[in-house]
Amino acid sequence: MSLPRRAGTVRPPRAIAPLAALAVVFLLAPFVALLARAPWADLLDLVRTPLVRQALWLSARTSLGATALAVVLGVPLAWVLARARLPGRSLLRALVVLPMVLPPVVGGAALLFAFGRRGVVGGPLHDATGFLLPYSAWGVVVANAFVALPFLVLTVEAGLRGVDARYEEAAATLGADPWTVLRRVTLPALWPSLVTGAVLAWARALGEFGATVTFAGNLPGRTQTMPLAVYLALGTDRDAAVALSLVLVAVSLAVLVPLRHRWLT
Amino acid sequence: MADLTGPPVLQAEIGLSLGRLDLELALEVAGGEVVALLGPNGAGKTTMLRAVAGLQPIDRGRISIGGTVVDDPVAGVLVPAHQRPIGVLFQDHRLFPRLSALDNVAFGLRARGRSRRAARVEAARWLARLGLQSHATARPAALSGGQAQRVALARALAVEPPLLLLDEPLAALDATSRMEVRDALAGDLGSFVGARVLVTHDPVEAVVLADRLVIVEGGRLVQAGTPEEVVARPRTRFVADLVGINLLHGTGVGTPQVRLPTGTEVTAPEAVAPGPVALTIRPQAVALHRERPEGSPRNAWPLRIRAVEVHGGRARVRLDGRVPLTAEVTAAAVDAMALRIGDEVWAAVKAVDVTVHRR
Repeated sequence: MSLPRRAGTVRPPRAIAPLAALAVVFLLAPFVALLARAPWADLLDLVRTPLVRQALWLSARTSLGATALAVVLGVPLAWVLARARLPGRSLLRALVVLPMVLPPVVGGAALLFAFGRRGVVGGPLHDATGFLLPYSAWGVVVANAFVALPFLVLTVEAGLRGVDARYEEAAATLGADPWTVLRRVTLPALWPSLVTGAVLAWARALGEFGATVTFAGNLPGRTQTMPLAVYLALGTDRDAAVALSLVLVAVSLAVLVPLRHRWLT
Repeated sequence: MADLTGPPVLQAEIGLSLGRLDLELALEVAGGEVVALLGPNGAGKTTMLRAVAGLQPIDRGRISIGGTVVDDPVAGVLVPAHQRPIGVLFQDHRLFPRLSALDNVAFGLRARGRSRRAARVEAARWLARLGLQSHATARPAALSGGQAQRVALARALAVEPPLLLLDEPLAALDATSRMEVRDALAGDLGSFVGARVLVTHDPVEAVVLADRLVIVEGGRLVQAGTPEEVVARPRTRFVADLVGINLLHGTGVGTPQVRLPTGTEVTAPEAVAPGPVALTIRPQAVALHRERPEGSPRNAWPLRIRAVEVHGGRARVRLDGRVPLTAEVTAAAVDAMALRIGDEVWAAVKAVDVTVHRR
């Protein structure tokens, strides 16, 4: 890797340095405080408590489920956005980005109106099958997928634009049907974007709070994910809250590893 | 040898509007025949090839390959590329960057239903046939431009398509490897029995590799015929400029001397291996003299002037005799030497200006 080059020889105004230093302190202080407050001696015991273990296990399942849902639905959507000649494509993209900028609580409320017991989709579904999304682990998955989907779609769409269609043409002239082209040419080239998009979506799903609590509630063992457990524990058991937070920090740092080429250059 | 008696492998009448290009072109290619589509960039040659390959639907007309209609907008027929019996060699080789040379060659065989094992065995045979077996495990990025292009040719040939489409196969190579790869390609293609359509803007490539030239300009055919016919009698100034090159067929005998069918010998820069060769000489390299020239030119023949065409400051002097040649000189030289049709003049060509191509 080459050394970063200075972007010019003009020195920045002196006032910038203290402000930048302040920004670093601002970003770092919460983590330092968290680490300072950590009950290191009891940490393992705390992570083993039923509350923490349940939240951990539920978060793992629902965030991975949401990621899978985002991949299954998001890759075809990214495909359409990147490749199809489609009127109103910019409108469609705006719709995709919407959950990213929308307050998650509003997203959760909107999900209730759609998939709740009296929702436009949820009502008939409940009447027909008795199945109810809200206040279930599946509700957590749906809420997580809703907010995570844009991260996957936008990343994969950018990746698809980078996939060289010339290779797909070459494959077609060699007798490869569209499915074979997808499997052997497009997907291998798309793989890095797909992994990045999935990791981003997963990180977003893991940290999801607002939409989850609105749509799925806060039932320990059923819909109480890690972020909800942290929030709840702050009022009752601060040590548990810190322990849960440390687990999430560790996971977030681990997420940075596969994404380091994207941001840490 | 071309089988010109059988039904044509390719029958295409192509009408197509794409951006500023308006293509209206008919083309027939017989089994074993090599047809070169020659024309300037933007003439529509590559678009024509893409239409035949199934990468670009046509607006009007009809394309048949091996007697099967593959594109007919009126009848609503459009066979996708992967179901057409073709092979394509792209200008930019388009080898799959993540696959080894061997797996690239095996790709088409796999896509057409061979097992992974059988495809690899067959692919290895094709690489060996083209002398590329030592590069089997190499990724495309590790190959030279010429090697990559020949692996791409092996990939296209491996499925044994009745029709091979070559789109400017040498254009992406640098000048030195270009000649080398051209000779190698001519050899590689020698045993290929299918029909070939070669798109090129390089007249030397066209006259050396093709049985028949189709000259295209602005989406229209301007002249078609054997390279000898087109070179000897370009119908328009445009064609004359485009194929403005002297093409001679002869036989190498292991010395720098190449024997023409008339018995005349042309001296090349270095020894020419025995066998049939094509020689090209740029018209600008042919000097005209009233008397037998002295000095370094190794080739000098007394020839008769058949035609003099003056265009601006330049003149093309067409010469008949033991060696049919076209010389390009300044119009001032024509005046100064008082060149007239029927005059006998000496035409001199330095050996270094004679380029030898394997047939």
